Amino acid sequence: MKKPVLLLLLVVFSNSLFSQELNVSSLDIPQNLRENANAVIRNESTLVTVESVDKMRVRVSRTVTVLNKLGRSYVRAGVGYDNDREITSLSAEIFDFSGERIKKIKKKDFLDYSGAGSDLYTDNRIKVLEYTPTQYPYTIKFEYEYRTSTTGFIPRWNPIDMYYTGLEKSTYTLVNETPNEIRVKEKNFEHFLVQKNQLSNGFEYSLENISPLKYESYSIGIENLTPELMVASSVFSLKGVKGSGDNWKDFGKWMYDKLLLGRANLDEATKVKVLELTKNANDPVDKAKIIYKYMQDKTRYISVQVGIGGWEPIAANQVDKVGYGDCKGLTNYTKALLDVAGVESYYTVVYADEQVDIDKDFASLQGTHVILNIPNSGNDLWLECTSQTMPFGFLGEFTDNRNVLVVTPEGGIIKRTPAYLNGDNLQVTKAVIELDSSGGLKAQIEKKSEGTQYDDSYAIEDLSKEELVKYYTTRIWGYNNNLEINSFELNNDKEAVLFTEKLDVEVKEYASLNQGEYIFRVNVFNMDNNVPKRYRNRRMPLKVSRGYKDIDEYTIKIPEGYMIGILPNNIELDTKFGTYKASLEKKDDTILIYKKELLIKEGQYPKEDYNLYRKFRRSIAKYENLRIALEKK
Amino acid sequence: MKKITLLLLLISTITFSQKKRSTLIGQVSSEEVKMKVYEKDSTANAVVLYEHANVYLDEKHDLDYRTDYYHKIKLIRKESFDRATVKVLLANKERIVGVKALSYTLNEGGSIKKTYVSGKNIFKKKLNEYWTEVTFTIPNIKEGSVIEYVYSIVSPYSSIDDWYFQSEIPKVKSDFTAAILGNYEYNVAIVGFLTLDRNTAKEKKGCVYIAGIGDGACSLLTYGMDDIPAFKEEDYMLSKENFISKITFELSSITNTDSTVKRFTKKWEDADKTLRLRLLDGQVSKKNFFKKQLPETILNENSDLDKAKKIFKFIQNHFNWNSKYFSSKKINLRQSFAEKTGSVGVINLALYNSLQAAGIKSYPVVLSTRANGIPPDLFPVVSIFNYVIVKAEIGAKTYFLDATDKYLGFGQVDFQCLNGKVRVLDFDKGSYWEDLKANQISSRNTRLNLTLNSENAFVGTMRATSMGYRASNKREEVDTRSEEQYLEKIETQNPYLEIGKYTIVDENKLDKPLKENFEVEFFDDSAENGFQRINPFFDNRISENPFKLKERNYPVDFGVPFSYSYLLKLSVPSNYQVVKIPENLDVKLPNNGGILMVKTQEKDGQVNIFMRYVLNKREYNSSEYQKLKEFFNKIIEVQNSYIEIKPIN
Repeated sequence: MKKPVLLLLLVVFSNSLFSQELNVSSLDIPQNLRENANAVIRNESTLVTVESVDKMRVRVSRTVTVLNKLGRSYVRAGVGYDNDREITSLSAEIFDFSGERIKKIKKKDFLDYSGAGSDLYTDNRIKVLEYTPTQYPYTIKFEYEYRTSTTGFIPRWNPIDMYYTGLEKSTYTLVNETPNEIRVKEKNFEHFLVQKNQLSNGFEYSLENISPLKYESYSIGIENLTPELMVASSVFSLKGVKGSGDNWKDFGKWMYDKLLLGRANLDEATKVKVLELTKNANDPVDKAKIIYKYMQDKTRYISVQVGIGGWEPIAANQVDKVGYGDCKGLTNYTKALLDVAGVESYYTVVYADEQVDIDKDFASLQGTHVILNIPNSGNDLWLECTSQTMPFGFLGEFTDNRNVLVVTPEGGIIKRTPAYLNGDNLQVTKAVIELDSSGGLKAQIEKKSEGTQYDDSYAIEDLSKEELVKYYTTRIWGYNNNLEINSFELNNDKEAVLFTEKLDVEVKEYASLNQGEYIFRVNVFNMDNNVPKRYRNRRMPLKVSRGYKDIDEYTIKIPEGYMIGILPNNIELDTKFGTYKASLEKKDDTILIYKKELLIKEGQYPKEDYNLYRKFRRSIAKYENLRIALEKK
Repeated sequence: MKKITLLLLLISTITFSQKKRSTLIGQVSSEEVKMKVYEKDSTANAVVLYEHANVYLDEKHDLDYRTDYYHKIKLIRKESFDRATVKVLLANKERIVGVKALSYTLNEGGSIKKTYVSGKNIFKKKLNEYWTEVTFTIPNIKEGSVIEYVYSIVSPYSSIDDWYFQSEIPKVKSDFTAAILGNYEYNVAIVGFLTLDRNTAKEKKGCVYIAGIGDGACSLLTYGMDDIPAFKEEDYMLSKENFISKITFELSSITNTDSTVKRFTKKWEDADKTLRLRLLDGQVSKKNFFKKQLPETILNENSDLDKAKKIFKFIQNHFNWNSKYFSSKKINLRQSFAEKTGSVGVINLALYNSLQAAGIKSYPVVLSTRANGIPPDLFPVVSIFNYVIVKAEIGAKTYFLDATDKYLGFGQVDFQCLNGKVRVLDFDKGSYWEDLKANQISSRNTRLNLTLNSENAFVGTMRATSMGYRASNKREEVDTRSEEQYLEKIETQNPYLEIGKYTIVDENKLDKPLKENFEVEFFDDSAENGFQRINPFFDNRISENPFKLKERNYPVDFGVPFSYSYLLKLSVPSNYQVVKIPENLDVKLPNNGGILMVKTQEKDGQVNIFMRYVLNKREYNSSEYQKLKEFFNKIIEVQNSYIEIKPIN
């Protein structure tokens, strides 16, 4: 990945006029921190004390001035706890713009919530400050301390992790009272003046006076731009389980030995069943396909996270019995089934959704999700085990193109999942369209989707008929106002990872009849008129993710009594961002052929290219809207 | 859930002779497990085969209210598997007992496998200080499985939860039964369009024996429905609570053993007292406190209307809404005033007390919001009200006031309040219904002046005036975004438009229309040989018809009428000729429901396009739906039309 050039973005003040003493008056915030800010972090300090391998104390003090209504969500006055993490102190103070204290909030006045989002159950809870501001700006000083026996997660330092936030000062201090080595990794420090001090038994980092970053679409995320310090102890404890490892090999070995080993046992009856199912398949891949299907039909995703259960999978025979599990449980279960059939596979840790890598040089507890790797003699296959519908070997946008940790009995290995790029993400639409003299049309459409376009569409096969009609009339063809679906047929070819939609539709009042002319839009079924936002002053590089390709071919029969006049010229746009071609051709007196091909390429470009890309997309949008007029005979 | 203390049952030696209905598991037949589709609705992902709630007083639990729930559901397709995860909410002091749950799944051999939820997989978590949630998921589910579960809730509260006969999935049979002590009287309401198949109320004597007093009677209530279709929600529909088939209970009175009657909602006069106690929390007589808080200058205003307007402004500015309708804690207006924050209840009660302090004739008004449902009018119901506003009578005029939202003008209430009738609480003469309508139509009025310049761009000014909810929504949008973000959003909706200077007039004068002025440049960067084809309708553009359904079952409710007018004056240089302009049009909706009008003219290089549409009504019933849908299509067609211009050779 290219390193972003950021120097222009940052106004870094080197001479600090502002002493260490905490100022809570909103009046003294320097202009460069206020501009484009919804909130300013006045002072944030984190003090981590590692007392022993299973004893850690974390103290955080965070003072934020909220400048306007949008800044409220930047306060983040909340702290989580669970059976292994005890909040020992918690308080907040509110100050008005002049720095005068208007409210003090004690621990017992914080709201207490269960942390379970989509989990069936979790022991995570959260204490949150509830405060309705009475004026802007105001300042909140929020302080807490917690103790935990888990040293496997030492807080990271992300001094700038939000847009529209000025930073006055952020400090991170770690005191290591143990003989164990504590490792760090500095990311994106290049363009920031981070102060670093070695202490006798630890270290301290600080950063001051950073102007706010503005969010821009089509850009790389803030996490790739701003400094981050990763911290890990080489000897640690995770919810009571001791561990060690300062490289992925050893770390992975620990994970295997302590969290996975002995959890892949199955009952005899299930083993017999697996062998029975796979007895006619000789190829390991065929066996894996059978087992994957069996697992998908038998299980569903249910998440229960308690204690070490947040990291250790439920035993395979348990999943076998109840037919559900979370990503760890279902992946481990699939692995257990594959073991029985003699197919080699490994539990693999990954960051799901946002494209984030497991850091290949820094071994620590990372990742948010688990998938399964089948090495397949060097031809890696990957299984998503929490989905009942994903094709075998397909990952989609959830876990594609990123570094992952494969956990083997010999230790951890970093591998990369497959990428779906440009032409891989193909959609081909063919339609036979018949226009009638009253302005309506009837059409038979066939649409085939692959790659991420498959990923975006295949789930519609689970919709009810009514939901599907709504999906087509509002989401897909919302721009065709009187569209009705007469019939449809969906085919999900999981083997080829190809989704086919066949539809029979009609659109009333499609064309407008005007003074003997019959005017209609030739691109009936695939208008791509997405134009990126105009920025008065673009600051970030342009990033186009993944890319895609659309091919359309429509055979259009014109209505009785009309004739084809002069047709517009062919259109061809060729840029570094991709290509666009559109053509209209007269096949005979009554038939027109419309062809279109759009390729958008994955890529990263300097910010100066943003307007060029916008112009390219605007031209496309224009041609996508092309209308022609037929004349009365 | 509202707490009502049990006044009667102080004596512990009461026995029920009503045989407790049990809800036993094991009522699943093999036909049900083998069934492939639900024939009455083949699109259903799941169907409730049977469900039953039974309410009675439980002698094992100090005669608290106990409700036994029984559910039997056929899971036809995997999309319904979420139904195997059950969540039960418990209020404080409520308990759940007797949870049993299992699945019946067909094995390949044709035998039926039963898998139970084990006790350790039933989780209880405290959600917050008021609610606890009990959750469990039923194991070993496959397409075709039947799940069956029972549980009972024991509650010290004498309110009875609504029972929904209808849900998003169809039901074969749904029953509700109750054995209610004869001295407890409830108002029962059946909501929705479906009719009951079972509806009996029997008096049973000797249902209760109370030591030292004697036999007591019970009402045995039975309500049931069969073959219930799934409920399908539609867009622009008022709360589904108005249409879904359900049964609701409102405690109306309790007769004590000494024959005195404690009345809650038997008549409106009882309901008024209950409302005053519960919703207003007794905080309607704090006018002396507010008299001291209001600035002298306000109290010295001569005209009542000016006084009321200034009081409204004062309270609106002083308080900050905490996003809640009501606080579950006791209302304390003095403390809230000092903290400058509060719920809708707190803020509008402060407004009411302040108006009282200034001698302005005013009343608290309670209502149920659009999302909450329309209050029934057969008998008094207090539990449905969830919002308080104020009615002021000044001269011959009536104003409904809501000081919670910072963008509402005097006489405007939050859009959520526009739900038909509201209950005005007149403490002297008794409460009464009144219809609450928006105090003014919502509208937008746009004037656009453009000239084609030598660089083939259309440049000029746009002036937009917004009123009513259009104005308050706009004010909120402008206030919570930076100008740059606001303009970028408009430009994103139209990539051929660039906005230069922007000014806003009367942003903070909430009683006045909001005016915005834009310098605009509009261009067609693919124009060839000077031939220009532009679509000038970029303001208030409706790009998609909000109504896609072929047919509609429930009324369309916009809440408030709306009108839009647009006037474009375009000057074209003398070396250009106008080839085409949009056509005139005149469309009317039936029953005076609305108009759409387009008038265009072209003369000496000057093009004028006037477009106006009005939706006159708040609500359009399902028989007007087709016309309404076509009406929107017409608007879209107009807004899709073009002006064509080419140079004169």
